[in-house]
Amino acid sequence: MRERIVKMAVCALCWMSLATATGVNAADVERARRVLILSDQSSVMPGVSTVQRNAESVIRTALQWRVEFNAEYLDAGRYPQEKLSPLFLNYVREKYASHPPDLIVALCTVSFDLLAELAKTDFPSVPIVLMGLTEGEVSLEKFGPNVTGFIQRSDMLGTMELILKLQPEVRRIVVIGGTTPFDKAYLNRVREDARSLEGRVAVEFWTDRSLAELEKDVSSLDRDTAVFYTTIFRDSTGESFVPVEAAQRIVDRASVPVYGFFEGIVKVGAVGGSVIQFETIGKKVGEFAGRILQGGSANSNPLELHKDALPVFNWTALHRWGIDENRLPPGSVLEFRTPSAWEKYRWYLLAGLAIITFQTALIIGLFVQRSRFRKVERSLRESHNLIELASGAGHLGLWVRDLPSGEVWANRTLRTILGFKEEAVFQIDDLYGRIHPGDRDRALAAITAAAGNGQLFEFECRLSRPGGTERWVLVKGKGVLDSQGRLIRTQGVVVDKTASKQTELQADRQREELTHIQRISTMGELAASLAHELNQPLTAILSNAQAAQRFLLANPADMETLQEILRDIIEDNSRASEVIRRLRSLVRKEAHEYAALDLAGIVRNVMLLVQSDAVLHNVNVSLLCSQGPHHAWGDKVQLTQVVLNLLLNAFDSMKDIPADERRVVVRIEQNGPHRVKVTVSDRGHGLPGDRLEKIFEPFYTTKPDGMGMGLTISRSIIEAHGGRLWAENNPDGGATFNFTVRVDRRRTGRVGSQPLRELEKSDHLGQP
Amino acid sequence: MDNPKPATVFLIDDDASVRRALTRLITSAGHQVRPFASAREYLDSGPHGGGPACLVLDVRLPGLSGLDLQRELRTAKTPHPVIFITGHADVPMSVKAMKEGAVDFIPKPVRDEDLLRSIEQAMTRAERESAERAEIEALQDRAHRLTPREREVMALVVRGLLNKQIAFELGTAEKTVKVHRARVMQKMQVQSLAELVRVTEKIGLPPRPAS
Repeated sequence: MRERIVKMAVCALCWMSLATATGVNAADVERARRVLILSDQSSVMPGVSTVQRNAESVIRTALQWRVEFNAEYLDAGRYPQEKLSPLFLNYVREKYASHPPDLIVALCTVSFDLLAELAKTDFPSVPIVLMGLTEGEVSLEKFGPNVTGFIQRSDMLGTMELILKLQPEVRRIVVIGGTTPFDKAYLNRVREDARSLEGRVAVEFWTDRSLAELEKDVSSLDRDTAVFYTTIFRDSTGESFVPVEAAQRIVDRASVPVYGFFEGIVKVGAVGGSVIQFETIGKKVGEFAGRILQGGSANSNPLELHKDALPVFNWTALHRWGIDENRLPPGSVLEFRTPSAWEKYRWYLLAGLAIITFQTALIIGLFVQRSRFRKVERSLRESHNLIELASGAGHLGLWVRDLPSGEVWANRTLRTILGFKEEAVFQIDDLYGRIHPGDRDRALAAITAAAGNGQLFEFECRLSRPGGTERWVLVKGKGVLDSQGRLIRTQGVVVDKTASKQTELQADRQREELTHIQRISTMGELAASLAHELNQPLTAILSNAQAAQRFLLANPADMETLQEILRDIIEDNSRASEVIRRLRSLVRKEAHEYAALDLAGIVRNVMLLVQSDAVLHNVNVSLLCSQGPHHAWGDKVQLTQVVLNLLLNAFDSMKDIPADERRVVVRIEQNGPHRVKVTVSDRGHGLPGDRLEKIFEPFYTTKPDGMGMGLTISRSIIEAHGGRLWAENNPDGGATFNFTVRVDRRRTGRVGSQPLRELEKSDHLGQP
Repeated sequence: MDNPKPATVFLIDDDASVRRALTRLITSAGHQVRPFASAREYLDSGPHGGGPACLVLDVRLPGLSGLDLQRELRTAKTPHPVIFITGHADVPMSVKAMKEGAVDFIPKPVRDEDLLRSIEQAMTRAERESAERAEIEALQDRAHRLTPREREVMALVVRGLLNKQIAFELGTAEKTVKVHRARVMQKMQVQSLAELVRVTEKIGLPPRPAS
C-alpha cells in the first residue's frame, strides 16, 4: 500500500515538473509564428506569387504550429523608387513595430539595399531568409548576421543553345527586353553569354523600341530568325508592363518562334527555353524558412548560388512552328501538350474496347451455344426418331420405368403391343395389368427377383389385351441401381412372339403328327407279324371251340377236357387282348406326357411287340441290363417308338446273313450320374462310314417301302428328351445304335457300373 | 370213323396254345396226334415210317420253317403228305407249297371241316402211296432175284427186241436167249410182255440199257 502511494506521488511529481518545464514552450507553441514576406516586386507578377505560394505551403507543412503570413510589395520593377521607397520603409516599420515578425523572407530582384536596411535597422534580431533573383553580386553585410538564403541566376546561354538545337536553320536571334535596370541586368547577361555563340548565330538586341513597335517588327521576321524575349517591365516609351503580359503580345504577333528564360513565357505561347522554376524556388525558400523557424541558425553565410534551370517547352507552339519533338533535349518538360484522343481517352477507349470485346465474345458464345443446343436438340430428335424407327422395324417394344418419379415411358411399338393409345399416359400397374392373369405372378416374380440385384431378367408370357386378343411376348430387361445399390430404374425390351409362337406350336403339332404317322407306319411294317400275333390266339380259340363241340357230341362227354378247353379259350382271349392293347398303346395319339419310366420295361414291351417279327426273321433278341432299375424321365410312347424303330432296323439289317447268326442285343446301362444309355447292337453288315450320320437325315431309307423318317424322328425324340442318338460300327461286325436319356432325378439312386446281366431274352427256340 | 388202325397226324406248331387246341380237334376226329414245337424236334424224334400218317405244319416256324421241312422230307424214303396251316397266307408261298406236293394250304384260324377233310385226303393218299410202295417193294424183290444176264435180257425184251436181235446184241445163241426170257417171266411173275413192261416201269428199271 505504501509502495503504491509512493509510486503515485512520484508520478505526480514527474508530471508537475514536466508541466513546469514545458510551461514556457506550451505558451510558445500556442503563439502563432509570424512570417513577413518582403518583395521588391508585386504580387501580380506570376513569378512572385508562385514563389510566395510554394514557400508558404512548405512552411505550413513543416511547422506544427500556426503561421501567420504577412506580405509587403515594393513593386520596384514598374514604379520609380525615389519617392516610394521611404514611404514603403516607414509603412512597414510602423506596421510591424508592435508586431515584429519571427522571420523575414526577402524576395529581392533589384532593391537589395532597401530591404537590407529595413531588416538591419528595424528588425535586427529577426532572422532573414533571402532569395535573390539577380544576375548581380549581393553583399550580405547589409542584412546583418541573421541572414541565410540563396541567389538564383538565369540560364540565358542555355536558352540560346536550345534555340539553335531546336531550329538549326536559325541564323539570327532577336533579343527583346525592357528598359528598367532589372530588364537591363538580364539583357546584359544575354550579351555576355551571346559572346560564346559568336560565329554560330547573330544576336541582335531590340531594346530601344516600344512594345507596339516590337509587336509590329516581330510580325515580319524571316524564318531564319528566332526571338528571345527576356523581360519588359517598361518599354522604351516608359510604359510599364508585367513582363508576362508583354511577352504575350510579342508571342501573339511574332512570325517566328519566341523563346524566353522564365516560366511564365511558356504559358503564354512561347516555344520555351531553359527556364528558372519559380515553384522550385518557392519550395527552397520555404525549406530555409522552416529550418529557421524550427530553431535553426540563420547565419549560414555565404549565400548559396543556384543556377538550375529546366528545358521547358510549349507543345502547342512546337507544333505550330513545326519543330521536331525529337530535337528536344533529354529531360525536357512539355507543357500544354494536347494529348491524342488515344492518350486522352485511353482508359475509356480501353474500357469501351473491353466491353465491346466482351459483348462480342458473349454474343458469339451465345450464338455457339444456341447452335449447339439446336444441334443437340436435333440429334436428340434424330436419335429418338431413329430409336422409334429401329424399334418399330424390329417390332421391339421399349420401356423405361423411373422408380423415384414413378414415370413410365414406352415407345410406340410397345404401346401397340400392349394395346395402349399412342398418347396414353399410364402407370406401371397399367402395364402389369396387361399381363395374362395366369402368367402375371410368375412374370412379376421374375422381374422383382432380378431387377432388385441389377441383373437381367427374361421370360415369356401372354398378354391379355382389351378386346380379348391374346399375344405371346418375350420380355427381357434389367434393373439399374444407384451408387447405394437401390433400384432406381427398370428398363427393357418386349418382343411380340405371337406369330413365331403360333408357328412354334404349329411346328410342335406337326412334329407330333409326323411322329405319330411314323409310329403308324412302323405298325404297318409290323402288320404281318402282328396279324400272326393275333391269329395264334384266335386259331387256338376257334380250334378249341370246335374240338369242344365234337367232344360234346361224344357220349359221355369228357368234362375234364372241356374244362381245360374253356380255360385255354379264356387265356387265349386275354392273349389277344394284350396284343391289341400293346398295339393300341403305340398307335394312340396323345399329347406327350413326361414321367418316370422303367427303361427295361419299355424294351421288354417292344420285344413282345416284335416277337413274332423276330420269329419271322429268325432273329434272336436279348436284353442285357446292368443293375437297375433304370428310371428315365420321358414319354413312354415316344421312347417305345425309338426302341421299336431301332429293333426293326436291326432286324432289317440282318436279312442277308445266315439265320443262325441273326442276333440283336439290347443293353441298358448307366451313363454318368445323370444319364441312362440304351444300345441296340446287330450282327448285320454295319454301315459305311459316310452313312453313320446320313441315316439320320429325313427320307433316307434302305427299305423299299420305308418312309425314311424312322431315325430322323427317333433322333428328334431323343434330343427332346435331352439325350443323344448316334450310330457306330461294332469292331466285330454289325452296327450299334446308342441313345441316352436323362434319369429321373427324383429316383437317382446309387448306380454303379454293375456287370450286365441277362434280363430278358426273346428266343424263338426258347418258347415254352 | 371206323378205321381200325388209327392214322398218325404229326402236328408241328410253335405256339403251345394253338398246338394244344389243334391236338384236341384232330384227336376228336379219331386220329392219333403227335405234336412238336419245331421242325427240328420232329426230325430228331424220327424216322416216322410205317403206318398211314400225315403232317400238319405251320408254315412259319422258328429255325427250320415249314417249307424247309417239307423239302427235306420229300427226299426221305417214306414221305408223309403235308397239310400247311398259316397265319398269313400269301399266294407265292402257297403255290410253292402245293408244287412241292402239299395236300392243302389252310389259313389260320382253321375251320375244323377244312382241316379234317384235308387230313382224310392226306390219309387216303398216304394209304394209297403206302400200298404202291409195298407193291414196288415186292417187284423190286423179284428183280433182285434176277441174274445179271437175265436183267440184261429183260431190259432188251422190254425195249421190244426179238430174241434173235437180243442174241445178236448179247453175242449168244437165240436158244439161250429164249431160256433167259422164260426165267425172267417166271421170276417176275408176269404172264405177258406187256405186263413185264408195266412192272419194269414201276420199279424204275431203265427201258433201255445204257449205251
